Amino acid sequence: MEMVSRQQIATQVIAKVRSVADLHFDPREGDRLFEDLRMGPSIRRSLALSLSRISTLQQGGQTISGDEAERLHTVGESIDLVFRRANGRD
Amino acid sequence: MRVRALRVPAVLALAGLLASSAAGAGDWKFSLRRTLVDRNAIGLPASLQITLPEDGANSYAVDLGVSVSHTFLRSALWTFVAGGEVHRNNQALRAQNLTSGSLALQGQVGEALGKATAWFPQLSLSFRRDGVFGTQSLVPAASLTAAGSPLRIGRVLGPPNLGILWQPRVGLELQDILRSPDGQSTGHVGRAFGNVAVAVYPGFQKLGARLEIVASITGSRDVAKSNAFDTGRDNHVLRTVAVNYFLDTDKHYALGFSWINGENPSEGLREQRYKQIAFKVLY
Repeated sequence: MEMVSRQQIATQVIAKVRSVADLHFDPREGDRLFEDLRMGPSIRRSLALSLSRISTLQQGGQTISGDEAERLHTVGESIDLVFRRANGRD
Repeated sequence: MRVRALRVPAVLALAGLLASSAAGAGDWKFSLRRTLVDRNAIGLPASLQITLPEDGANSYAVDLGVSVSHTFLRSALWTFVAGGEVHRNNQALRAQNLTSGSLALQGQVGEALGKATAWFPQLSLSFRRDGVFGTQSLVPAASLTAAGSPLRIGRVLGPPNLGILWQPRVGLELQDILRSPDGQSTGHVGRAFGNVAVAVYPGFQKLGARLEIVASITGSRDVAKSNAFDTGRDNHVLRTVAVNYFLDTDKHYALGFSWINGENPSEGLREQRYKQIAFKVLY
């Protein structure tokens, strides 16, 4: 199975976070989802489906649950989680 | 609390664990908060308050819900949850003694992209034991909340140093009373409920959102009930305000003040009005 790179994932995750957070700029990896991007618990939870659509595009990619998405703190953490799941890792 | 009374909730929780294990891999998410029903909402921390008077008996009040969750059949759309709740106050004037075990499926429909709406339906089945009323009940329930939409549900609004967040929820539950004290009838009560919670974060940027004020109002209406449970009052209102200051940056531990006014039949809380300072935990 061909591994997808973190950079490829990062571009897609940043675009999704921008759209779900309803931003007019691209968020940075260090931005905090709640304190900086103003995403409350239910908005973060809703990221589960959006991020899973990225991770499951890869063969063997795994989904992300609502609880996992709600607990994400930063954009960088979100990229790391999707990167792991896209490559079939917990 | 007698161990025997926890038998059925424990069996339900164990059944949930086993069913979830069968449904997917072993990647469990543990959660500790005030109640299981506020998943998909502004998460209120579990609270513990202890009073140690110089004369008289010690008293305590606890509100906590513990759960584990897992994606159901590896689907991003559904999460399986198993857990239990305790709402207990051993002061005679504010007696509350409810324990429950629950299994639930939480779903997501749609994505909150831009102004679009993500919907979160939840189906649950709980076994509740109410030590004050002496009843044991089975409670199927359904609820619905949302995120996003043009109403900006779940987004923090306001200037940099004042965050405001709101979250509505509606639902239905049917409390089927399986066992009641000797000489009293069993029966059922069906309730429709609506809840709105508003969280305000003074000094949002400066304090890192560690200070929160959460005001909540829950209205429920008995839409169907057996004659034995007809008290002549169909409407129930619970108003709460919680002020929490989180002691750590990850916001797991807090000291909090709560004001409670009203009744909550779903938690075995009779008409009450009191204030409480408590240690709180949120995971």
